[in-house]
Amino acid sequence: MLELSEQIKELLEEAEGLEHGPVQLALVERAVEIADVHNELDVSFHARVTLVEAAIFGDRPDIALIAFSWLLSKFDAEPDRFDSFELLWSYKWILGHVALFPTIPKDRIDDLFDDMKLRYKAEGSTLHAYWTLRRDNAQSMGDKAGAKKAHAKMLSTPRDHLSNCLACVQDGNVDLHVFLNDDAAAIQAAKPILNGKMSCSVVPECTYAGAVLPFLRLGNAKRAMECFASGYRLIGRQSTFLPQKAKYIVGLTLTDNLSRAVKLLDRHLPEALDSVDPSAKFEFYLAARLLLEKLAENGKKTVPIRVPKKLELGGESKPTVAVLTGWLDTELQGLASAFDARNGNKSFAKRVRDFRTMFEYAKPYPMT
Amino acid sequence: MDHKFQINLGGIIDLLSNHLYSGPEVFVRELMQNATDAITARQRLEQGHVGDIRMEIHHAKGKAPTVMMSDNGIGLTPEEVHTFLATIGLSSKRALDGESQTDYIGQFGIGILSCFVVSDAITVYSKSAKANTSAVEWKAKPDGTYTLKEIDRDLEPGTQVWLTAKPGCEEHFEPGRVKELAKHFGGLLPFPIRISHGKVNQVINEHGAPWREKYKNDRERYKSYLDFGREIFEADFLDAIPLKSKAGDVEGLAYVLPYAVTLTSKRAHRVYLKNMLLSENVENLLPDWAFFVKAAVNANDLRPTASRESFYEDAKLQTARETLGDCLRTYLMDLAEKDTRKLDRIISLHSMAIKSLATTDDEFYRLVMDWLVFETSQGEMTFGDYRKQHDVVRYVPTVDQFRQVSRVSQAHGQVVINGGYTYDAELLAKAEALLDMTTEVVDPTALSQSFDELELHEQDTVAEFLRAAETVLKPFRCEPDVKKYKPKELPALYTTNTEGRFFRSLEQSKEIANPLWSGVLDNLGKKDKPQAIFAHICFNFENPLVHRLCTVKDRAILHRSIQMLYLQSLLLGHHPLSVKEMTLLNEGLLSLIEWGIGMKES
Repeated sequence: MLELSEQIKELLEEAEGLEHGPVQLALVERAVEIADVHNELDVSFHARVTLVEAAIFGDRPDIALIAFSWLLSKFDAEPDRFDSFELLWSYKWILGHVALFPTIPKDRIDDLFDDMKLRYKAEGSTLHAYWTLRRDNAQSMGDKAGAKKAHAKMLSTPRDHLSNCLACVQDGNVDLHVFLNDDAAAIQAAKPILNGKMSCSVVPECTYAGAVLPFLRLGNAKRAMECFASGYRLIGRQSTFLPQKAKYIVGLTLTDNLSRAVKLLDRHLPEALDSVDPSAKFEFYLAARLLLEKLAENGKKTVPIRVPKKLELGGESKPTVAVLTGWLDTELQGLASAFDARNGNKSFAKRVRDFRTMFEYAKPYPMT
Repeated sequence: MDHKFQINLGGIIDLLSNHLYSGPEVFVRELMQNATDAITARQRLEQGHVGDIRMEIHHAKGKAPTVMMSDNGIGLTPEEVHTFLATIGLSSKRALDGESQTDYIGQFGIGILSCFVVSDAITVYSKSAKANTSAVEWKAKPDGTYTLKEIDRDLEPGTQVWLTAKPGCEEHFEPGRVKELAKHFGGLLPFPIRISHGKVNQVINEHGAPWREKYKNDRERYKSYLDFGREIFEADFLDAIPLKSKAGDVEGLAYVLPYAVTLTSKRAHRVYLKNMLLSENVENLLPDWAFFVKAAVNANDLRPTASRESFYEDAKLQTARETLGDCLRTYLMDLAEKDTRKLDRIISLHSMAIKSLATTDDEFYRLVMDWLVFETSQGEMTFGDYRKQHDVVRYVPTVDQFRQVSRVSQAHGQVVINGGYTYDAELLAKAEALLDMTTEVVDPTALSQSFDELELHEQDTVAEFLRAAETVLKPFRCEPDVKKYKPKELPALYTTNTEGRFFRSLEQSKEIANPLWSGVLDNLGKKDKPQAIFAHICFNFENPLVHRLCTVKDRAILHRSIQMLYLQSLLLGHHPLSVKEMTLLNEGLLSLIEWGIGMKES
């Protein structure tokens, strides 16, 4: 048997060589468990820092939150024992994901942001990162005024060592403009990323997907589909990036590339069902709903996809459009009302109600 | 009034040599590139024109060494010299109408400047192949001044460049070094590069690209491929795979690496553009999964980025990449048919890469799955061997669960596969859809359901014990049961599933959390169907100790014993103890010691 620390080191090293996802996450979880079993606090701490990252990028924000809470408690108990930088850095990931869970109330999210602010101030931060996260959080909660205000604050605050990387901030700008319906500004913001001048571990992956809708709304189906071609290649194989896959389904549907859209639905629906992230589920189901609307319009009766075991529709090997539509509607309504009740607005219900307006930007552009 | 920037050429050269170019040796590359582009341009004017590049190295005693490079390309007119040689950032090779952007290698208009990195003077003689132009002599100095005069020497169309070594740069003018560099950058060029030094004359690219050569037979071809790989990469590869794509006009070889690489390690392929070395570190040419090979290819129709480390992500590149991926796939499929020993060797060396590919590529999965090795409760075996004996793919998703379960299933004559290693669970799960086998994730909690129930009279015996266990284990949300199973040395089996583990870690964090985070964790734990129980413990009635415990009447002893069996089963399954459980363990040990001492004293 290997020395304990060696064994954990090996697991973490193996994990480091893998791409983000369940396989990597399982290895890191095992490292944490072994460290815990042997009651090695420093090793447990280090392994959990890795776990937070693997869980965030492996689409298990719930596991990240649990591990982060543990880290924070241990850190507060012995602040001189552990390095604060990594902890504060991962606080951003955590606050970037709390709004995805409608069971976490608004007040509590505000309290978390206050907690982060205090800790960042104590570390001498300019709070640039705080405002970036505030902005993204307001978007997740459908709060346009809040997003605008935080964005302005962010722009007037100097960057510091805790700021998100330039590419991530820029990618966030794209999403913000899309959220505020300013497509020209969104494309302007996406340009340096799409031209390859800025990148990081999740950019341009996110940006290609983010640019599809604004390109379509500006009438540029060609560029939208180029973004699909370049961007989907980067994420199609991975089990993560669900909201981005949803954006591609929307883009393919609106450009009338229906068989390709169905292929994506078939390939990624199991991921949506397995996802623990209700917000990602919502995005994916809404995209699927748009696709089904289009299929129904074309007179299709069944959806040529494999039905995942988890999706209990009963009977048929290929689900009918009507049955799958009904299932999606129920899910979407459930998710929307949970989010809206928490957020104190109607933004999710509105998106479900008005999804058909997206067909205004439909423009056939067949892909070869 | 508008003003123009004043540019300090010395500063620019310094910038280029220290930042943009990788090293002083690139002057050879830039000169060859210009020569090659000039030849290509002339071939457009005169069909069938045969290219020729010459280099002369002069080492006269007491004088700085010089190098001359000449080509029989299109040459430059006096006007073109002003415009192109002496204007920074303007290349004569920008695409004209009707030409594609990739017709020429150089596109950035700074190539000739690289010569100033090693030489304080550049002299160019050129004669344009276009009619009615005179030959020119251009002399440039690094202070940014140059002279240009027309000369009436009768030159053949083409260009000559003369360089004189700067003090400290003599090494780059050594004949051996110049040859080495010329071969490094231009070794694949389809026309001869002749280098002369004193009386020695040599063509340094006699063989050119091995994939363009003609061979007597396949063995000779194969040997030549591997020799080439050894020469450029200094490694003995397992195999060489021909690559070819019409899109991007790509041709070359992929070498199977003789060592394992990780998924995230940098891919570094050696890529020639129009037969000139572009980079030894191109990343995005092959599909991501192709990390078990290192490629050497020439591309005639792809666009490099300014960094030279990758190509522009356009449709052409995507098609080329897919086609090259198909070449590799076909190769593996061929091996499966013709040379399984080699395939086995590749699989064992690159199992990570192959497993990763198999999880996302169905066709490839069907091909390799049977050769992959898995750990089972009966030892290691290939999936093919497992499949011969079993119709159902029974696997446990994590290594620790496998350890718990395998002992018990082994004793019950059931074979289970360990799906806990990287990619294994994903691969096994796909057997249902792709190989038409039933798959069954062995849920450790469900395992105990297959154990033998107690007889009626035995149930009476354990009733008291079971009630006590329920009381003791309730705070730990663990449900007890007593059944009969093998091996009888095992007193209790603790089992939990993914959800149970999730809640255990949630509780673990909550135990030490501040009120704010304790609240967050509570919110997070809210599920549609709240679970009161997230683990089971199954006591083994066949175990003598458990058997005896069922007759113990002393409540204190009974409770303490159950607690200790519970903790032991947790530890056996490698489950971390919570604070509560840790306290229990400490108390338990102390009281056992006290009992021991008490018994002795009484």
